[in-house]
Amino acid sequence: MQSNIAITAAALASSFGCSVEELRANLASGHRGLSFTHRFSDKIASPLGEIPWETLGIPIYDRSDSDSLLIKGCQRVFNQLNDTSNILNRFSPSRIGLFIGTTTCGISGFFDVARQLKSTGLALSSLLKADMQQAWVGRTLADQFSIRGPVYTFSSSCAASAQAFVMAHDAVHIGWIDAAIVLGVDILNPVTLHGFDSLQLLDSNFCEPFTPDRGGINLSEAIVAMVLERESDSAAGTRVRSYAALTEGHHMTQPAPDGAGMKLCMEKALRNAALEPHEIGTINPHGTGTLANDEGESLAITQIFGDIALVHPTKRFTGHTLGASGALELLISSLELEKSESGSFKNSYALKNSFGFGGSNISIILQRGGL
Amino acid sequence: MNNVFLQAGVSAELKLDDHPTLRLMPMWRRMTALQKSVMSVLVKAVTLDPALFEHLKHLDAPIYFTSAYGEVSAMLRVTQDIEANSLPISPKDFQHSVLNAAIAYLCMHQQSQQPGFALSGGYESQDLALHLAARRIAAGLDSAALIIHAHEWSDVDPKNENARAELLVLSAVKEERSRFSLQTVDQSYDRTESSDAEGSRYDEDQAEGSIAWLLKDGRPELKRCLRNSFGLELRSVWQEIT
Repeated sequence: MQSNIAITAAALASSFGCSVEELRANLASGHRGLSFTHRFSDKIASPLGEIPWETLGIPIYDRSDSDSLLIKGCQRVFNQLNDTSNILNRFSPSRIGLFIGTTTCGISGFFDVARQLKSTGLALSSLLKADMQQAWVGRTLADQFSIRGPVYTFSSSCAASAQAFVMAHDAVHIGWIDAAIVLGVDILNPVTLHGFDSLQLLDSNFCEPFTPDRGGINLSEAIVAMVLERESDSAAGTRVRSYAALTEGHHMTQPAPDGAGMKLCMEKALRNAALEPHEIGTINPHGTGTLANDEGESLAITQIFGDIALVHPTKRFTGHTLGASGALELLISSLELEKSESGSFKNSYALKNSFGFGGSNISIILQRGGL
Repeated sequence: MNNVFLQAGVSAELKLDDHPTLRLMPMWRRMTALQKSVMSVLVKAVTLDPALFEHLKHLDAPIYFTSAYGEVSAMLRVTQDIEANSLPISPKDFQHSVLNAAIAYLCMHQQSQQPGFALSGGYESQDLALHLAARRIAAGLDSAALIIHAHEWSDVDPKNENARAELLVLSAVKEERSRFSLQTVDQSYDRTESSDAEGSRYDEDQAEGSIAWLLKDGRPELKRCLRNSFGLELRSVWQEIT
């Protein structure tokens, strides 16, 4: 699969930058967007990566409800994306699609129901509400921004927004739509924090993925939006060269210890791209910092590429933004590809892995535009 | 453009269709009602046509799992525990609260590595999955697809678990097992003449919590129009192969 569909614009809110320019600058400086001081300090002692909500104009008293915060943050990032790309005016509303990856939308609604179940004794089925659905964010944003094309919400754990990205790409590729907005969004909330804590996967110090010192994850939050559209062959936007997805079928939260499912996924992506391993210039791994993920992934990468010299894990700086991580790290990979033009590394292809709970694996190969 | 054929359509309700082999399945007791309903419908479909599922594996057919509310009971147990400050929460409940947990069990059971996509689409979840799978097959991106749509209406007490799932297999190839061909799928926000034409109609504003299942007695509805509360209409038209 080789298409002329490119990432033509991006906007974001994250602890590692709230614009593409900030993201680029922070990548260059090695800034860590993680801190021991955060709005959950009374619950979790580990460092977290918090969006600087004040820069989005969301005051501190308005940050307690994660779903409301998520929607408000997405609205800000959408406006930022439209300011940059004018996408909502350049295409007919029915020719724009919205493809979202998220795992945390709807959680506030579940807390409401948990309280109502206790206080009212009503049957659960009578308490279910639309805003408890992961899809709620997509339906709301499509309504507010008059997007009339397909709206899909992917929620395959940490692979969610990487899945949304490839599905958006394919929808443009086959002419279903002319342009797609890919949105990766996950917001810190008590379920995620206590959930990963219960699995004993949080690093109590700053995380160090792909190092012997790694001790787990630093959780983080991000909202990342990208535009995918057709470009002329000579244009410079980052393209999707190929991808491969599979389900490991090994374990609910652990990859196969030998990295077999991860290896197979990367090999399929390379095969689909008609590329040899030596043609890849940089790898952004899933690289969470957990013992199991990094061991399996480093074994898989070493078996294919010979060593892990090409690996540039970025969760050390961004933290793990869960369902948003695929979109955030694809954007980072596209910025890395810009460097290849100036000779920072030898080749013009970047490999991005996203490996989620449930063995949802996806490997995406990006290509520098204008080749 | 490729044609799209329905190769299998199966529904299973957890309490009614409790297949005897299911209770022997590893991890059955650990699973949520939603996951059990998915395994129930899968085992029922595989029993009816084992060759089809081997074929889907061979084709690397994507699995689209969709549910409006997802893992309701697992997520509620987690949120109730946090509300009650009963920490740490159960790691099992947390693992099971993710929408793609059912796909993971399905692939473990089938020893399959097919790509799995967990979709949340609200009231229109199942129609969205059908449209996505059909458009990709029609465009030649996939040669087949497995759609599983499930809903759980358990109360939090595991003894009161209840769920239902339906499974559809789509393929670009007409075979002996093909019983229906998909004529069109389309969506719009503008109510059109075809919206009001004969066929089954579902309206979220009047649904009162009911689920608009794709299958009736294992058959798709020949003409179907589903309208969500934002005014989106999703239409599909099937033709029976005689």
